[in-house]
Amino acid sequence: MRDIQSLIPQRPPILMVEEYVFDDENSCHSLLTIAEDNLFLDENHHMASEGILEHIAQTAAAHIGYRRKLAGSAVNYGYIGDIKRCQITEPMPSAGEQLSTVLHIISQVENITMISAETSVNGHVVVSCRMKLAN
Amino acid sequence: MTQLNALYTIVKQNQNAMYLHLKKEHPVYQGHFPGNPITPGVLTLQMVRECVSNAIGKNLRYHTIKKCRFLGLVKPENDLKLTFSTTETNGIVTVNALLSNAENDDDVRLELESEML
Repeated sequence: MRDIQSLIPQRPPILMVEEYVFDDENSCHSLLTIAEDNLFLDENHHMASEGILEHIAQTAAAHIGYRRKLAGSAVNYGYIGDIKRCQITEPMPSAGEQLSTVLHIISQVENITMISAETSVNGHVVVSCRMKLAN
Repeated sequence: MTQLNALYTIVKQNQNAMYLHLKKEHPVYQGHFPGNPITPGVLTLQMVRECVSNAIGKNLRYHTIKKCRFLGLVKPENDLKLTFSTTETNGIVTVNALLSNAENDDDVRLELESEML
């Protein structure tokens, strides 16, 4: 779905998911085409890895938000608790390229969610990591 | 675009630490979150990378993040203190860093173990 703003509280200029797809209870994928004015572009118009981490965190937030919506609850604020096992592989994408992320929930206890995710550009993995989120 | 001087300024630095001031008028706070400005955790990671780059005179980027813990929210009115260590082996710079409340070293907001290139 493209109505991301109904799933997460982030707004421009730091809205970093364009399309969210629910796969099942514990997995989803997402897309983002990098705009020319993206906050995380460096002076050479490459995306900084921090921007891809934000995209992953917002993908997780969208999944949590989607499940909350299905359950009839309101969207809430979420924060990254930690990032682990994060590997960044150059080259970083440029404006106009598309991030494609596959995300799995490893565990969820109360408001703490552990995820693993992989973001690719043109079929090459650029960032993989684990994250803990609090919602 | 670097966030130095846009999102934050380096107020002072000495051999052991850098003191950072956040600029609450930065547009990111309009979206994170509307009416409730909180510095995105990933931007604190970018601040650490830029400040360490500045200190060692090398334009660094993240290669691995072994461990990064966000231990407290960073509001735009919070001034921060950055302490870090770097060691370089075969072009890989190991960067360990702590970002804490400028007024209280024990009030740690970010703890990082990473490798940069």
